Amino acid sequence: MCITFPVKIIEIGEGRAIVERNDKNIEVKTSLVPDLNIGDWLLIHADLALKKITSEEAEEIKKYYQDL
Amino acid sequence: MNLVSKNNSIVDCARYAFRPNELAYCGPDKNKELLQYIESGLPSEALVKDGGLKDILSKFETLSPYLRLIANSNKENNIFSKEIIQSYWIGSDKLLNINKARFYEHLAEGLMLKKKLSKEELSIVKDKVHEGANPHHSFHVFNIWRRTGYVENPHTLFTMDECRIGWGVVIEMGNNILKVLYKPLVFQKGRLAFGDVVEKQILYNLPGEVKVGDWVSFHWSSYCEVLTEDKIYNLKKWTIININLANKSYK
Repeated sequence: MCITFPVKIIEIGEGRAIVERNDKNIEVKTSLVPDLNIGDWLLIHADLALKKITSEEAEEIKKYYQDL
Repeated sequence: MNLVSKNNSIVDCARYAFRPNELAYCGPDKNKELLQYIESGLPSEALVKDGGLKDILSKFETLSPYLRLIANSNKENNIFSKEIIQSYWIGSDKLLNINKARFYEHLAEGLMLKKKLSKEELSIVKDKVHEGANPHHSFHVFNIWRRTGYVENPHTLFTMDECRIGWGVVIEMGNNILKVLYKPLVFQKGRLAFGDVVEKQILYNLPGEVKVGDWVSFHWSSYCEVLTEDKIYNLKKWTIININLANKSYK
């Protein structure tokens, strides 16, 4: 499935971050997305962060998935 | 099946399939093995003999049936032959040799769209088969999707742009990152189209020499390979064909 997921950063490191997805913590690569902080929302595919999104966008995307 | 043919291109296939396979979204949970095979530097012939990589790629739910369809339609026994792999990911005239009924059966039964889509959605897919649908990767991306609803939605558009095989010219190289110029997918006047040239960063974590000025392909913001002129032509041609096909749904 070629889909992306909105996730929230709970821990941040060099080129990597721990994010929360479906009540689980996973590590993602953040090399492509600069200037991140704890609490920021990301759009990820697999273990790669693709872009930073707002919390509003994250909620909207989550709602789309729930409606499918 | 001729598994030791020098015509094998299984490593190229793995390079394109690598990113979607991470965390097992589109294939078996064998990503570390997949990367090891790619990084081994062994030629495709040796890896096909080994069998492990072939086993992993054969289990990809969408990829494998598409490769089989293209191979069978072109009387090729080896689904990982160079021509078959290139046809699916990049595009080639071999995509013209697909029987419409067989293609529809592949979509409806093989990929189980009959179960996954509504009757109305399946009817649209059936129409597309008669309007020039082809088993190129971009056909599936632009025409068979159920992600976040409407294509006008920025998230859906972004996902399609990331999921298609993109191409761009390298303008800067950093630590595991390439900066490329490319034309993103946009939604313009009710139709999918290419927008103005923009900069994009892609992950460069697969082996392969790249230099500034090279044209490269990428999948999910991750480098796949340096493109020849022929590959650029085909990738662009077949991507546009499938964008145009998708646009018929947005009348």
